[in-house]
Amino acid sequence: MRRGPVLILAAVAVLGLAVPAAAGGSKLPPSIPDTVVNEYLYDMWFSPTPSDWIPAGTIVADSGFRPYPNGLPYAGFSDSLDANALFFGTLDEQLQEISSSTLRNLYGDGVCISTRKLRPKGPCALTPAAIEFGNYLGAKARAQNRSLGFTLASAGVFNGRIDPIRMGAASLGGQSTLTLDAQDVLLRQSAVHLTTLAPSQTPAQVVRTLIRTMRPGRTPAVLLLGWEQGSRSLGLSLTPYAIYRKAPAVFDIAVYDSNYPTRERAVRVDVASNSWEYLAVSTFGEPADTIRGDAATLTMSLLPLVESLGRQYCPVCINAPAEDFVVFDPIPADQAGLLSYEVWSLRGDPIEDSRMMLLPTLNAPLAQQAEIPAARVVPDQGYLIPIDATRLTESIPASLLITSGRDSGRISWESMPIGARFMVRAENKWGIISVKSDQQMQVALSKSFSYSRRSYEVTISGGTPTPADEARAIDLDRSTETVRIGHRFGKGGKLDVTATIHKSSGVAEWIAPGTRWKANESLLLDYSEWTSLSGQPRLLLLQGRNFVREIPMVLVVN
Amino acid sequence: MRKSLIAFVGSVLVLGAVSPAFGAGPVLPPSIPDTPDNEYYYDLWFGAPPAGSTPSGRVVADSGFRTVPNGLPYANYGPTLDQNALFFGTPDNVLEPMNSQDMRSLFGDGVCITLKNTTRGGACDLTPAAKYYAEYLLETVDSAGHCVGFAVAAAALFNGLLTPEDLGAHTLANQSQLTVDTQSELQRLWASQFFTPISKTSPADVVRTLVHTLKLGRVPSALIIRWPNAQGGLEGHGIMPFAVLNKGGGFYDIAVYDNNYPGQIRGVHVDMNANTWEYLVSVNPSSGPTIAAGNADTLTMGLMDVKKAVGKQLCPFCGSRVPTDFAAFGAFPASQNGKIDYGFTDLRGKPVPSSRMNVLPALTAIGANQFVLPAAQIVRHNGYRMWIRTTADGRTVPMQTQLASGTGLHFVGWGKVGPGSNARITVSEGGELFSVTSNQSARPKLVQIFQQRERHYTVVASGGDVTAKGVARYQRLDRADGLLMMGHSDNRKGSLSIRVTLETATGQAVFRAENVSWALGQHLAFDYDNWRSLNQAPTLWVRDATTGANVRGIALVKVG
Repeated sequence: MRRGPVLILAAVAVLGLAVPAAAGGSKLPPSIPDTVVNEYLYDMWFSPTPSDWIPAGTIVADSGFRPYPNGLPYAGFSDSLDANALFFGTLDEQLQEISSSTLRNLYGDGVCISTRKLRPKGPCALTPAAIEFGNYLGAKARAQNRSLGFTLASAGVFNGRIDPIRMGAASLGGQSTLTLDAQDVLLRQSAVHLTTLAPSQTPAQVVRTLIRTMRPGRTPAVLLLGWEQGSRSLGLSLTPYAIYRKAPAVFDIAVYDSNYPTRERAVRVDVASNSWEYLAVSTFGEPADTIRGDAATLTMSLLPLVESLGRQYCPVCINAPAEDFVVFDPIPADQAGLLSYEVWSLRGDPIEDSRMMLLPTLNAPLAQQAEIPAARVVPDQGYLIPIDATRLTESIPASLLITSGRDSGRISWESMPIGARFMVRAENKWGIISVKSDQQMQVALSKSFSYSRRSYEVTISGGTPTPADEARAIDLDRSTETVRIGHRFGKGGKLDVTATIHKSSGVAEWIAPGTRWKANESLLLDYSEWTSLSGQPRLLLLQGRNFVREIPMVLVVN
Repeated sequence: MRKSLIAFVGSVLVLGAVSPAFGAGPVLPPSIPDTPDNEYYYDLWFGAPPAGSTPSGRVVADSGFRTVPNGLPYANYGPTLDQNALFFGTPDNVLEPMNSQDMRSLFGDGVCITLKNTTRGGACDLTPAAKYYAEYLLETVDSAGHCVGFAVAAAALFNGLLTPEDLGAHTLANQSQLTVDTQSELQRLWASQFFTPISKTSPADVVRTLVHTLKLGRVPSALIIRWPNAQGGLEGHGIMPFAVLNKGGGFYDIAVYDNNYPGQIRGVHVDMNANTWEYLVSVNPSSGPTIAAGNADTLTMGLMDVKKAVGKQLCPFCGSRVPTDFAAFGAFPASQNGKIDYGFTDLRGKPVPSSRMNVLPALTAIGANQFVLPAAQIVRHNGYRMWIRTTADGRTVPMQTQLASGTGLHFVGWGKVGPGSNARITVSEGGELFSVTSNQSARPKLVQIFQQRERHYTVVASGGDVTAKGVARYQRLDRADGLLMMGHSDNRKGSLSIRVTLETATGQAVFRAENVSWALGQHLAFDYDNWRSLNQAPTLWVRDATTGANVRGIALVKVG
């Protein structure tokens, strides 16, 4: 490819501060309702970048990527496509959940109940654990405003690693239409944050790495920034595409930011002070402000592109996992930082660092939900998860998912009480999951587990609240093919019990609503004879180990 | 609307010129075939603006329009959508003539053969003249590009004169989908340049007018510029001015949306002291950008009112009498730009005064391999002659001429015209006599489309014996007797193939006669007055040119 004609393209644009009275600036056209929110978004998306934040200087590395035409022509989004439809004319379809074929592409065939007669890359019936994890990934992407998905997808198309057609484009990222397929790609790429890790680097190291690895036609990585805003940890993913030397020790990393489609923007790095700066919005409705980090905060990192676009380590695939994933669904952004957890050994001590890794978050300032950092935990015999809800200012829905290979457990609070503390016990090797609190609680608990061609899911929910200091529990015994259900410390209660069998050919669900048991009694679900969709589980009431009676279950889905 | 958040928009832009050797610039991605043309277009559309092409200075007038999100998200195009499809992901259909709704919007209900069973402004069956005219406009826009259409469309949508749906958008022009309907709308707005006055003022006056008329939320005008090319021909372009910046010392930049550079903001530089303008343009993949320029003498910069362009135009073929004829040519190969010229004289051969004639700007599409001669409006009075000359160093090329006179349309298909040709079209007797002659023997095809009440006739006279050099082949419409005469000047003998069509609201009928000959002192007479319904057959006579007596009837054969 010739290079001559493009030498004149590197330009320095400097925006002065003089704002004459005659200047009109951008103007909301008649076709857009004149509301404060619309005005804010219009200004954010269509006003020019302040000159200080346009990349300037001498180019020392350049991939050739440009936000226009290689970035996506719409903005990052969270729970709704309305703003994109209004301002960018994108399709106003339903938000897409991650598909089974995308989960296969991401994690491999282990997400499927069975791989018999499956088309390569095609859809499949997912294991319950994969379904749960897929739902979590969707929620996580929404909390990120999909910024990681946008930056990886645009870089992937530019590098020739993602077919433009998958993004609803003929040849360039800038042609992308926000089709359901494109949404799927964005979800897929938003998910890699859990499994492809960005090595810790100082800002100066990041600049040096980019200068060394950036080539024409190749963006080597996406750039992750993190910063604190009050109690919130915020994050952003950007596509770095060129490096400018602005002054002897100052570099501009030219970036594509999905919050500013088509705009060329700069992250400024001072390699002498080993610090970075960027102009970003930290609170919806407020003007952008300068965010910062340095070698001590280690809040700038590079997520390698090749690894991110490739197959990821699967948290829900193999039977003998080396690590469990402990993940919370995102919570309302105004409660971010007010709900926290730790991981302890079964003896009640904080777990050793070698057994646990907290994963970074990318909480988008413009999203209405916020992530709680996920953790990868070496399970050994098991562990405890103390949850502190004492700082919540309002009761919120919350949900904790623990995956252990192809098994998973979920604990869900329709309304987590303010001021409570909880203790979750996970002994996945023995199939035990339980939760107790210092307050009475109404919590749903589910356990899913898989065999070679079938999977089960057992859920207990509703009923009467579990008293304080009592634990609601599910205890799976694979040797007897039974699941013990109820209260761990012997108190009576009442629950709705749901049991589901998943096969590649379909799903059958049975329920026993309002099932009661007395003190020192327990419930036992026997699935040993339940191996087909036409079969049936048995729910037994036991006193100690003695059979009392069988509780009828009703088929609700087949 | 609050202003605090947009305070940094009104700006002083200064463009540096740092071009380090390490800079790769935009890189053609793997999904685009690596050809010189593709590289040219990729750099043109996605490269950073060349130094000096971006407006800078203190903003003294600003409409608030910005190329993103208020410009169209694809580039101006000529005869094909291939490049837009490849680089902007637009549809890649074969271009079609303007649809009947847009013809109605442009020229009024007179384009419809009937209004029965149509909705107001909705689709209708077009008259033959309207169909011909739509085809002509398509051929011309294919050669000239849609630049004026883009400029007017973006401004009109911004001003609220068009709805976003008119351009396949939800709210903003930048969302526009280049659907077949959008293509038709762009053609319609492009065509308005032939009928909407373009100011002939100096560059300084253009700046002063813009400073005076640009208001927040309102782009009043499109900017039309023309400049000479290396071959001696003219190039032209339509762009959209949205702000004016004062650089000091009498220098101003007009910030424009240029549809050849979607998404970019570019500046036309005006020196108020010297009363000159300059603009960096790129018209051909095989050559680099050039600086177009003009001054107060060339008057090659003008403003076209957007509101008038969006409005209904005077129809040149809808059956009502208008004082001016509209003369235009089909497209020529780009290599002939500067080698073909035309002009007007009165019937005595004296050049017509400029007050009687208005030559419209010819515009140019990037990479187009054809060019169009500028069209002209000529006040008819009692008649005129139009001369057409080709230079001796040109090539033999096909040529078509069209004259629209309000009550009808005349086309001349010259076949191939060689170097050194000197041809002439004469229009006289209130437009009813229409004749062509040349200094080279030829078989020009004459087409006349006219309307009698609700009936539309198309008469094509073609082929036959060669018409000798200096002899005129003519058609003369005699509305009093309901006849159309065809023959040679001085009543010379000759022959022609005749094809006649009657169209009404209920359908059409076509008849033909091949190689009809007439003797010295005779001509042909087509009796349209007695051909009033589709189930009738028309009559064609060989007549005595002096007495008007019918000599013999010619059998016409029904076609289809």
